[in-house]
Amino acid sequence: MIELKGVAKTFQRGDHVVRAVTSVDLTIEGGEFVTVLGPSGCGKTTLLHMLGGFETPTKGTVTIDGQVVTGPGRDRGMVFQDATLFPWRTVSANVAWPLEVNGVPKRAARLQSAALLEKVGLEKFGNAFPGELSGGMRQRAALARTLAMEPSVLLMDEPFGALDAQTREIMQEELMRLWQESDLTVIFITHDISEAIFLGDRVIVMGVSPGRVIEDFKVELDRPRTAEARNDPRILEYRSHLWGLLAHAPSSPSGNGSQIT
Amino acid sequence: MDNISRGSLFLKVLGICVVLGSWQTFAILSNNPLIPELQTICLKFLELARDGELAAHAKSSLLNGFAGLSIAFVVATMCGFLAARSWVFDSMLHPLVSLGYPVPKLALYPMVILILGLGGESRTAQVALECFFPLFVQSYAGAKAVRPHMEWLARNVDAGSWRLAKDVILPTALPFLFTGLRIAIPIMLIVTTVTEFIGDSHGLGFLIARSSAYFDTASAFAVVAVLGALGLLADRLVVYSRDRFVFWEKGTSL
Ligand SMILES: Nc1ncnc2c1ncn2[C@@H]1O[C@H](COP(=O)(O)OP(=O)(O)OP(=O)(O)O)[C@@H](O)[C@H]1O
Ligand SMILES: [Mg+2]
Repeated sequence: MIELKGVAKTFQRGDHVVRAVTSVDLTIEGGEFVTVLGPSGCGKTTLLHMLGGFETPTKGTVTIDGQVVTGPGRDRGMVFQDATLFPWRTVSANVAWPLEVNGVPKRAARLQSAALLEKVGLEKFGNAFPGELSGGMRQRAALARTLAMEPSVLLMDEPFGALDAQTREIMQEELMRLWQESDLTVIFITHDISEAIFLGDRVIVMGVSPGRVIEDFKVELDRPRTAEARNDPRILEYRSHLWGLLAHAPSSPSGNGSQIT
Repeated sequence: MDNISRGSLFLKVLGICVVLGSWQTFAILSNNPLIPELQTICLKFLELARDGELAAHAKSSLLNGFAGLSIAFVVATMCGFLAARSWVFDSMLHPLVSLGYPVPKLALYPMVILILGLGGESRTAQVALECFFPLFVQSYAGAKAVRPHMEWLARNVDAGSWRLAKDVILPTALPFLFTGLRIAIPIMLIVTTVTEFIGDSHGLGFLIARSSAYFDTASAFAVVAVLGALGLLADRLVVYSRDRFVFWEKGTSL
């Protein structure tokens, strides 16, 4: 169980203070799939980085199973938007890296990495270099590498944000399948309302200036969810509700052009 | 070969021909024995090459030069990485490098000779001294070029500093290290040659100085041409290795 209590984060920028996140209280149960939705600059990334232990809250605490988070750990695997693969390693060597770091012998690591690549549908690309892969394939490889750490929580910051609509839907369905077969907790940041609804058990809606949670929204689509779920009539209802929330939320003055879709 | 590269090869050859032709014309017109014609230089080169003198001196120069370069490379790479990663080292090295970089290190050569003598050790030390700075600057920049997310990834998987250095920093810095080598190689040749002017009668620099002392400028020019060829060869070797080792970055070197 992940608990955020009164979590706030401010940044000093020049001589003024940016209140990126203000007083967030949130409880996430183990095994939940939580999506975080909000306009640009509302502090989604900052929130995720605090969960990951990459940033420390200015106020409040983040605890996981009762333990206060003080830094990054292999129990919380981060998937970055830009995949962050090593261009000098093959895909399979990239996936094997967390294992090698942990002292797993090279051969065993490669075997495990092959199994992980199969899991994300990249079994044919183990010997390719990241530069030879498409954006979607790179994101799959990054996911496989994160899974190699055997985390209990996946932290994903707009992992499909740079992909085309079709690839994105395929990736969403694969992620769904992977998660349903595991007991991972997933916290998934997105700009995309449909994505937030399709993936999440809950959609945490955030608002801007200052960054805060404005609604904790429960999605009641059936589990397990497959591509079929996209045709569920309740989705339209959810969409228009979330649209309303975001449209009335003040938009960021420093918004960098990212749009809610 | 397409039209553009054929055209550019033609222009490259033309450029060389223009310079050589001008030299030849100038030599003929000046009618000065100190300005030798091309064929005289070629003959002298063959003479020096035949009796093995050229090879022996070239070997001495290259041994001392590359020894100095290697020492500088290893020390500069380590210092660069340390300074880029630790603010303690950064603060300590910063003033030293800023002060040392603009100083002509050749000014120290008389002292180097006093300490290490007139032999190859002095030349090696001098080359290392002079090559250290450009190599350090590149190594530092390379280690600083690690993308923040890669560093986070390393923290996420709980990689130690040795892991980070070997698996993340070194590959990131690799293209920079090759750039450093490309800058350092001509410096290495310059310092080797100049330091051989004064010394224990070894190396291509010595050969130039001796030939000049006997007004044998044709031999001196022949040796200079050899130095140029060695420099070109070493540079091409670095470019080739860079393309082999930094295979994930394409089409960025000259
Ligand atoms: N390191 C930092 N220094 C200063 N300000 C920061 C820093 N990181 C984030 N901020 C500010 O905090 C606010 C929230 O940023 P954050 O990146 O969390 O937003 P976001 O919701 O992820 O936006 P986006 O959807 O565009 O990714 C923004 O105003 C941003 O400028
Ligand atoms: Mg963000």
